[in-house]
Amino acid sequence: MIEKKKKYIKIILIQIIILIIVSLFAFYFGTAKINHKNFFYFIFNKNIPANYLSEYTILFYIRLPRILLAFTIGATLSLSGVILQALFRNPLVDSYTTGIAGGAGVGVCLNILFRFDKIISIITLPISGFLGAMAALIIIYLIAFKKNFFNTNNILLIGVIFSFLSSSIITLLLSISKLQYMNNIIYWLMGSLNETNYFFIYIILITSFIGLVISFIFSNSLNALSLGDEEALNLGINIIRIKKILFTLTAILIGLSVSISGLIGFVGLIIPHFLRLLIGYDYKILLVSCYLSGGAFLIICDLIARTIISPAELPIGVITGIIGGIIFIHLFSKKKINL
Amino acid sequence: MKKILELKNVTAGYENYFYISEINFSIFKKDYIGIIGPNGAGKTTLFKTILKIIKPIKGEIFFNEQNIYKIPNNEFVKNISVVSTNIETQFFSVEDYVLFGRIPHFKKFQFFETKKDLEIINYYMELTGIKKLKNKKINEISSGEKQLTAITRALVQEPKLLLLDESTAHLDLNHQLHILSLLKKLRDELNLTIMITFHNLNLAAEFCDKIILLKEGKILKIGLPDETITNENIRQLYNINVLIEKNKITKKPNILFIPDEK
Repeated sequence: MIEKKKKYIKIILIQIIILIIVSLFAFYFGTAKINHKNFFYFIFNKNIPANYLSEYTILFYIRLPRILLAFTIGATLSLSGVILQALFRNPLVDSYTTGIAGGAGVGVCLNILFRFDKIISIITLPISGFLGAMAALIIIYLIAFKKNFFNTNNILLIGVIFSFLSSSIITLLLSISKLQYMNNIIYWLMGSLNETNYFFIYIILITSFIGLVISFIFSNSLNALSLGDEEALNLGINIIRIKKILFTLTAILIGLSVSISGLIGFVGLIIPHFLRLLIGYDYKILLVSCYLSGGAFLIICDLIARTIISPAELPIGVITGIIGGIIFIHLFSKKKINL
Repeated sequence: MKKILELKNVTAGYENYFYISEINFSIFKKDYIGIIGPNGAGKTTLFKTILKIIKPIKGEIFFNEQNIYKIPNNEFVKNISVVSTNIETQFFSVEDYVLFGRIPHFKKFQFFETKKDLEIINYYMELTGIKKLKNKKINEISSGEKQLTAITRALVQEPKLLLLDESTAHLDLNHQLHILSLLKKLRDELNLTIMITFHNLNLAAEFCDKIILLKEGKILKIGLPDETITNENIRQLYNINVLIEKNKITKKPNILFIPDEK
């Protein structure tokens, strides 16, 4: 086996170990104290004595789905971030600069405003978010096709305009809505990992893993893209096809994650940059690493969000923003993040 | 002699500007062709048309007697490669950057380079003399070394035809001479055919077997340095007066510039 492969496998193993440790921490710690003897007993045994049922429920029906969701959302956001940065060859792009998240936001706001979530079912919330994201994708595509799809700056500009447009629409909807809905919208906008419906969690977990596999198939093409469009063409890369496939893929991933957990910022920006600094620029390892570390990062942030002022809880977006921002500024000033 | 590239009546360009029109020429295996013309004469457009980046509006291009648009893309890029003028990525190591040139040779679902790929890139890095730089980052090496790295990257594609667009333009004389003679050596050792654009007429005359003069998107003249680098042609091309002598050692045309004194 060549040396690079060995090195990459080592990096992945280290990240998996970190992820497991982080997950165990998040599983063990929380507002409710869990007896550590019981904790290990629950992990290895199926038969639960009746008097420990509440502890068991907290662990497996509140904390576990939350850890799974935190992992998946973190993994999805940072994977989409790194793919978009590669496609646009712009280090400042993430899920929120492309307008996809904005579209999802408008979808969810409309839902809350028209009370579909109360009248029909709470399930309409993620569905409307996803539909909003897809609507945004289609609009961006239609405009981009009229122009020149080849030119990524066009798509980027359309995306930025679109995200401004949708944030204005959200503000408009907020200002005309009643107070109770306003709270719901604002709470959603801040992002939260309270979705404990296993069905949604499985859907997004499976989709994001498929997303990882698909993007990995294109990892060498993404590497080639970093050399510029013309050099990539001369390496036999079908640029337009790759941009279409991966842009659609990230739109689906972002749409799903935003519709389930709202706008959680900074993960798609900080994790890819941090990893580039640590392990380099090769997308073969960068994609997998962003997936694993993005997940681990959000698990930690969620652990902090729900323990630091317990029994109350901070919005996760606040924690990712603060931690992400501090780390980013530190790296940027100390060790040269290259933008 | 084997015809490697043939352009038949090719017209191409972007919407309404920077065009080349009715270009006809053939080049043969192991030719070392220099392309000369003022800024905007269509040198880069010509290359982009050959590389299938710009589709011709009229005419056809043949590589090894096959229309280039009939050659599957993955075959095409194994045959023609281009040396980029500046390397856009900064943070890959020289070795990793050169390795990108092997991507066209990767099999479907092959993600990592094989031992053979590594042997090939080592061979070419040795040939171009950049092996000692292989662990350095692209942003840590000089512009001359970058150019050598870009050439190596193009060579590991193992092309038959190598295109260089003003690759030596911003290098000092020493590096220019080094790269141009290296190309000559590569041509001989690897049976390469080389097309390179120039601004320096003397260097073109010195190194190239044949020269193509481009003016306003058309071929003004094509032929040996003696036939193309003449007073009359240079006046037509650049609207300047020059004195042409022979290089005493190489017997190639050598241009002396006469400043306009008005």
